[in-house]
Amino acid sequence: MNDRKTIDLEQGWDFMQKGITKLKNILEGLPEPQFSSEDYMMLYTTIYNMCTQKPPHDYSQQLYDKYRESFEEYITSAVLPSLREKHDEFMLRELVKRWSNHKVMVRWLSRFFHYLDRYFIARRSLPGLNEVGLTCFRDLVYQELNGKVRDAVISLIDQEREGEQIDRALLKNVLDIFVEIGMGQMDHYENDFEEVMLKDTAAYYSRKASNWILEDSCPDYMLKAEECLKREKDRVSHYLHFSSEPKLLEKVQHELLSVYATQLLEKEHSGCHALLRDDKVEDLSRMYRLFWKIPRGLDPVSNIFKQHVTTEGTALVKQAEDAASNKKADKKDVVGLQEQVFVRKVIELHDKYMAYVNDCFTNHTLFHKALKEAFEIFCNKGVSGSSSAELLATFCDNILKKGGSEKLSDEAIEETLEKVVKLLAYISDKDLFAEFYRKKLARRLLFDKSANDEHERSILTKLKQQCGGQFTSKMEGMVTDLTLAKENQSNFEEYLSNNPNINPGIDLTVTVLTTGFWPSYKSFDLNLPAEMVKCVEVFREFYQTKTKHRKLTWIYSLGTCNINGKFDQKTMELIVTTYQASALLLFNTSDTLSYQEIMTQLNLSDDDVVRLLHSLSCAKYKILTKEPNTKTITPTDHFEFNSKFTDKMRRIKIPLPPVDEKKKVIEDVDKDRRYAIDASIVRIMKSRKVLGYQQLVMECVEQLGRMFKPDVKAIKKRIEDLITRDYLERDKDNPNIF
Amino acid sequence: MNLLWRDPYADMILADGISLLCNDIQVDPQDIVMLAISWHMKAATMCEFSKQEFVCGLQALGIDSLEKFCERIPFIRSELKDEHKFQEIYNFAFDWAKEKGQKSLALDTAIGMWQLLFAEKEWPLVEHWCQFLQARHNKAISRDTWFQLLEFARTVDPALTNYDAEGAWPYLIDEFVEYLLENGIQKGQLSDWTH
Repeated sequence: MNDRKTIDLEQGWDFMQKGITKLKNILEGLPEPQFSSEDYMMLYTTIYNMCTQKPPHDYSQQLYDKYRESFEEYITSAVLPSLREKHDEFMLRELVKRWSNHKVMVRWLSRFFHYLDRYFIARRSLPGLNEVGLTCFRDLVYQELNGKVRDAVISLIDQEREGEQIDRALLKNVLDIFVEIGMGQMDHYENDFEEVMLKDTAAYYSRKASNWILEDSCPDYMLKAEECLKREKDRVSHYLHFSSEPKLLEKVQHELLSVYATQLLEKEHSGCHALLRDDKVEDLSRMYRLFWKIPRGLDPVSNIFKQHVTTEGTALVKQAEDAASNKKADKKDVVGLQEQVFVRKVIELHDKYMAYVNDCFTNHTLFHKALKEAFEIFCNKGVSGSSSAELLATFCDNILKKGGSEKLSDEAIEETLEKVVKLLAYISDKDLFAEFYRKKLARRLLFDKSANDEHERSILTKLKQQCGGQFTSKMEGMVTDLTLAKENQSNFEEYLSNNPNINPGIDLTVTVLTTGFWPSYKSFDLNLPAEMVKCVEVFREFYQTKTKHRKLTWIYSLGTCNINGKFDQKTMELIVTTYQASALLLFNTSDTLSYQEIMTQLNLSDDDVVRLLHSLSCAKYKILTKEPNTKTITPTDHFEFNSKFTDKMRRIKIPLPPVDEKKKVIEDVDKDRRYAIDASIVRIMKSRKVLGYQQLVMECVEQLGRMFKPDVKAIKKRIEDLITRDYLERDKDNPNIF
Repeated sequence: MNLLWRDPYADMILADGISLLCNDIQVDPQDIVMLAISWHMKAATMCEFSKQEFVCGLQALGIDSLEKFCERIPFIRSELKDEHKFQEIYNFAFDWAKEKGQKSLALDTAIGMWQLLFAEKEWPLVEHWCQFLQARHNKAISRDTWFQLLEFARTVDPALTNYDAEGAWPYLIDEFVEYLLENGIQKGQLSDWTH
């Protein structure tokens, strides 16, 4: 029993063969009892013995070869024939079965022959038993059939695409073979299957797309595209290898979207432009989702978006222009209701399309940029002679002043101001806006027309955030001045009460302003009536006690006066400007005065005199009667105090319409710009010392861009001016360098 | 010889003296060679020579007699043909021709000078330039413009084919080019405005 008998090769192999045949039978499904553990032991031991015998009886090499031959024999005699005779789906099923069987066979046989693995194979660094087994299948079965298999699979996939039900589990198993046959590498799967599958997919979708693009509207096409992508993704998760997903989706996207992108987006009645026009938010969101995945896919979409917004904005401008040109000619210079409406509409437009950017286009920078550029284009177009900067400033004025045309809640005001400030970002002439705003702010503050101090401060804070401290420093100074002025006034009143003898007998309120902060006002040398002259003197003395180093310049054009008019019927209080009051007081000493006399006595310009006399004699309240009684003032008119005047109120306000400041504002801004350009050029050259012309211009434009867009010609002029003033010089060798 | 030309009241040769001088050397006072002579003498202002300027200038030219002076004239005239010297003389002309104490050159004087100078070194656009100035500009000429004009005449071809609109030419010269193109005077190719 212990004495091992040498097993002869033929004998031993005979025994093994029986075991192998048994295994084959089991695999073929023939009635065959399972291997018992004894059977297994015997087979294993036989191998063991044959390998451990002394030479020339160690048969390791032969056994190794015979191991492989067993597979080869089985495959060629049984497996291949059965596969060859089947086709399509049946072939696939057979293949799956045979593969599964083969794996079982390999497992079992390699267990029997296991001893080879341990010594012989290891020592000779040969392919292991498992590998040998799989290689047989690959070289014999896979090699011959993979083409057919692949085609069958692809055909099933296409059927599924057309809507038929297919056996997904089968496909998964088949494709697993492609993967497993690579034994760790994906190259069989990729080269023998995936490549052709992708080509087929591309061709399939290309055909579909070429039909759909002609028949379907853009939204419908997109829906189909989205559906296809979803299904393909699904396909991968069910039976394709996961590594195929990105490549597959890319092919589909390419065929459905990239190739037809332009046609799709520009479809006449349903393309991107139409969707924007009809506010089809859902479709646009879908469009974004689909095109986002394609390289540069969103560029054309954002361009169409930008065009659309620009068109809408420009239409608003035109609308406002048309409405304005229908206005009465004499009201042309005053920014009217239409312009207000225009600003409102622009704000609404901005809100609407910002919502698009945020929702449909998920805040993508490309669309933010498109929106910004679109607004920059039409926001810088003026309406009927008023620049957008002016319109915006007037709009703010209306919101912030008492009795403005907008009646809104505090919250609504805050919100609106916020939006206005945002719009300012699109306007290139920000400094023009600042000037107009400042002028109007001055009016509001000085005539106590500001509705709400908090809102005034709030908008200044917003402006500061957006445009920097320098932008708002003067305006803030103005607001502060008023607070100080109030303090000053109470000091003045104290001073008066302490010195009753110098009291001028008239209540005087003085607002002292810091010149630098406020817009410049021309001060005319108005001849004040004697009573007022006294007041001015008294205040001057008082002010001297406070500071000796400041110079007071009186701006009578901004003052107001409350005077009592003793009319026949009753005495009424009239609220007028200082100019008007001075004119009226002249009639205390004369009954009738001519235009010339009034002008000489007041020492004002023609413009001012005409305006003020008009307000007193040709407007709503006729405090003076005019000879002749026409609607306009001429230098030959005569005026008389209208003692017959009366009104049901005890107290009336006689407004003096303000002079049109527009031209002056524009002039002032131009002047400031020249200084700004000069300063900028000098600053740049100081730090760079030497610089080429082009670069100088570029840097200048960049530096000043925050406030306004400088004209290149203007910069050139300033450079020449600086050369003449010896600040700059041309380089001796290259006149293009400074 | 100095004594004849010299002004009786100052150590200068003034307009009368210059006329006499010109007579003696047989040169027209309007002749451009007078400008070249003034340049040699580093004269500060036209129509007058200080004693220093005159004496030093003659020394530099190697002139010690009237005959020598006459002999030197052709040489001085030839200097105007030299590109480099012409430029120096041209540049010199600005300060020389303008009023003392002024920063710019009066338009009439400038036009006169240009006509004189560009008769010597021919520039086909000189007439147009002068017309343009009288029609559109009507103000004095700055030094920068003066200097740059020579550059313009030298480097830019009369058909304006190589004019760089985005270059650092003075504003006035840009306007001149526009004027020429507007009036169809030059149908040159516009250089690429949309750089």
